Parts: sequence; C-alpha cells; structure tokens
Amino acid sequence: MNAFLLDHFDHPRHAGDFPEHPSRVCRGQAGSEHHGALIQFALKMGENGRISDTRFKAWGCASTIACASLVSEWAVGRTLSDARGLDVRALAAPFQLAPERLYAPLLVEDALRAASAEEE
Amino acid sequence: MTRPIYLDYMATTPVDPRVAARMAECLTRDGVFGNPASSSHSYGREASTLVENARGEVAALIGADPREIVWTSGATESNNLAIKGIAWAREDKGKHIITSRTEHKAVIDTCRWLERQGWRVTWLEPCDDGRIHAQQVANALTSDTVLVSIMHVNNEIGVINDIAAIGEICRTHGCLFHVDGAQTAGKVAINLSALPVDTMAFSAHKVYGPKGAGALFVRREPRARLEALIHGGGHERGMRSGTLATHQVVGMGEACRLAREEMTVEQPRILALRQRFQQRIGGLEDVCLNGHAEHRVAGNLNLSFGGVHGDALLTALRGLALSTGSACNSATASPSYVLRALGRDDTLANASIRFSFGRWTTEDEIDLAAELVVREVTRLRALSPLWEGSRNHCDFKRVS
Repeated sequence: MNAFLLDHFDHPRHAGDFPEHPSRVCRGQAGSEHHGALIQFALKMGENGRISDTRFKAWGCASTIACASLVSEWAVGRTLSDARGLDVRALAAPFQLAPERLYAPLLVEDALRAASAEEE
Repeated sequence: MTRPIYLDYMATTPVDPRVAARMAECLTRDGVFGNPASSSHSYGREASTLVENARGEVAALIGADPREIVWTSGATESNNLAIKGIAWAREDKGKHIITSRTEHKAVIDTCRWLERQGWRVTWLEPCDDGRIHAQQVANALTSDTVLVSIMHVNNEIGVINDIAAIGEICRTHGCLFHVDGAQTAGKVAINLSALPVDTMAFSAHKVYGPKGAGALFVRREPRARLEALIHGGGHERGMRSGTLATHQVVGMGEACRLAREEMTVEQPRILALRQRFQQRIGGLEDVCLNGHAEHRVAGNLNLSFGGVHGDALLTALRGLALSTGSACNSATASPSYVLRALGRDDTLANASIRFSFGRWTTEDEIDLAAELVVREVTRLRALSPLWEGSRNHCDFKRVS
C-alpha cells in the first residue's frame, strides 16, 4: 500500500456524521456486511446548491476507507450532478490499487451516487 | 525502518543464537560435515555421534526412547508419514480414519487425499471451547477404524486437547492414535512413555530451531507399524530414507535441549505477558476469546473484535507482525475454517487475530501492542456503520 493511501486510511478526512441539523443533507449508502464492505455518505447542501460539507462512515478494508475519505474531500464545493458523474477509480489512481482491490472505488462510487441521487 | 513487533511465534520462531552456533559447527570443512551414514571414517562417525546426541535430546524432551525418533523435514512430512504410513500398513484391517475439522492442513489435506483413495474419514466438529473431546472419538469409532488423528495444541486458537483420554479410548478399541504435536514442544510438558499415543509429529522451527527439520515419534512397544513414503537407502530404520541433514537435526536437538531446560521458567514468563496484554486491552467491549480460557498454551491469544473489518484491522496494526483469522486478499475473504468450525460467523472470523508471544517478547512490546490495539479498534469502530448499527440493532446483512 502506498503512503498516500495509508495517509487517508490513518487520517480519514470528513469521517463521522452530521448531528441533527436543519440544513439539507443528502444521504446514501452501498454494500452490506454480506458484501464485505458498507459505506455511507452524508452530503450537506449549501445555499448555492453546492455540497458545503461531507461526512462518511465505512466498514471495509483499508482501500475502501481511503477511497471514501478521498471522495469526501473531493465532493466539497461540487454539485450533486458532479458527484453523480465522478469516476472514483480515476480519482483514486494515485492510490495505485492492486487489481483485486478495485471493488473498493466501485463501491464508494455506488454510495456517492446513492447520496447524490436526490433531485436538486 | 523499524521492524514490526513480532507477535507471531506460533507461525514460526527465530532460531535461538545458541542453536545457530551449534548448527554452524556442522557445515564447513573445519567442522562436522561428514555424512552420518559413512561409518568407515571419522568424519562420518563424528556426524553420526552428533545426530544420535540430537536424537537423544528430542527424545528427552518428550519422554521417549531415542530409537522412537525418526528424523523428517518437518511436521508436515511427519504427519504425512504417520497418517499415510499407518493407513497403508493397516489397510487389511479396515479403511476408516477419525480426525477433526480443526486440524492443521497437513493432517486435513492428507486425510482428504486418503478419502480420494477409498478410505472413509469421519470429521469431528469441535465443541464450543474449540476442543475435541474423548467421548466424540468414542462415538465415532467403528469396527473398521484403523487410525485416529487428533492434534495436541491447535495452531490457531492454542487450545490443548486431552490426548491421554483420547488415546485410552483408541487403545481399548484397538486402533492406532496419531497426534500432531507441532505446537507442543517447549510449550506443554509431555511424557510419551506414559501416554497412549502411537505416533506424534514434531517441528523444529516452532521451538527456536531451524525450518526444514522435524521428527516423528513412532512407538516401539506396542509397535506402531507404518509404511515408508520415501525409499532409497533404508535410513531411519527404513522409515525415511535420505542422507540426514546433520546441521538441521543438530539444530533441532539443541532447540529441544534448551526447551527442556528452560520451559519451566519460560512458559510462566510468557503466560504473565499474555495476561498483561489481556489486562491492558480489557477495556475494549465486544472482544471474544476463541477457544477454552484455561486449556490453552501460555503464548496464544486468539481474539475476535466485533464491529471491525478484519482487513482494515490488520492494516491498522501493521506495526505488529500477526496472523489474521482470514486469508483476506479480495472482497470475498475466506475466513478461518477453524473459527468457522467454532461457530463464528464470517464477519467475526475475519475480524479475528492470533497474538502469539514467545522467547523474546518483552513487557515493553506487550504494552506498545496493547496500546495500539485499543487505539485502532476504537478508531475503526468509530468509523464503522456496523458498530453503530450493532448498537442500534440494525441488521446490515440484509442491506444492499
């Protein structure tokens, strides 16, 4: 595992959840215990229609957690439409994931799409 | 770069420097390099003397006669020699073998191979405490049972089976009893002169000796007859041909001598280290001990951590050299068959870690390791929707 990946795994950005909040928060998840990984995203929407902040929770391997952290950082300031179109494998290219770990960005992508599926 | 703290002594042990020194004396021109079978000159006779001294040390550790020790390449070969050798030698008496689902692969795969050759194998399931009990063996015996093969100390969860009780049942029934003792030497005191065991496999590298050396105890009285697997020269009383690797067997002998002299001090020290570790991580909730709490070797602690992903945990604990409960290298992990046999579900089996402590484990290492485990398990749980879900009684198995 490369140092960039381990940095995101050891110090995940935007980890956790939002407390009860009046702002609009879009939520989505993908995976399950049976699948071996579960990811949840919460995207807080700003007044300008862009994502103002993010939170995630993940149960999965180090690659899954690192990909979720990377995406949670990327999403701030983007639109839901941007999020729906994100290719997480491309974003996570600097992690140099081994082929058997490529399920991780795909599952993170599914969770992000689920969270950004709400109508703008 | 700092090397991880080594807590995987049940996988292998470093060679004790005192063992390495003895081995080095048997390699070069100025040392004892002769072929132990070359009885016509002093080079060979010197080597033979060292080999026989080493045989005596192995025998002394386990309470056997030196003539009952057959040198092999390790416990895998010893298990193969005993199980196949006995099955072939007793084929005319029956073709039924009893073993368990928690044996090492060296026994499981050997029995599976015999199954494909027409033998019938009964696979016993462990009890909740991870052990195989004598009554289970008694219940499985049939008129054509020729061999029972049950390990002494389980390599994953460290539990100790009552081989005296199982052996008595085998004796009464008239079948032979083989024991995989790869994890026994130096950890549990045994006296084979008084135990109803017919053959028992040992390995050097689990007891601070070299890899590639092992032994099979083959009882002389009553004689355990077995067919050889390897032919060519009739070494080891015809049971295992091939020129003996003098340095390897000398290493195993020295390792066994040290174990015999030091285990009464070493094992309590290791037990105290294990208890210190358990006490240091005692504040973590939802940690499950795999295997019997008392009937286990001092240096083994196999724990399952609820709400944590096994693969992430192993990465988080990369400062420690450990074995995990899974061979996880893909999205679909293969959980430990031993932990699954104990009834752990796949998620918990994957989040299981075997900590094993040994000769060079220090209190400082224990404290650092425990601190790391507590910190990382807590961190990963805070991140885990499964942990949160288990607190809210959610069933994520059905979430897709």
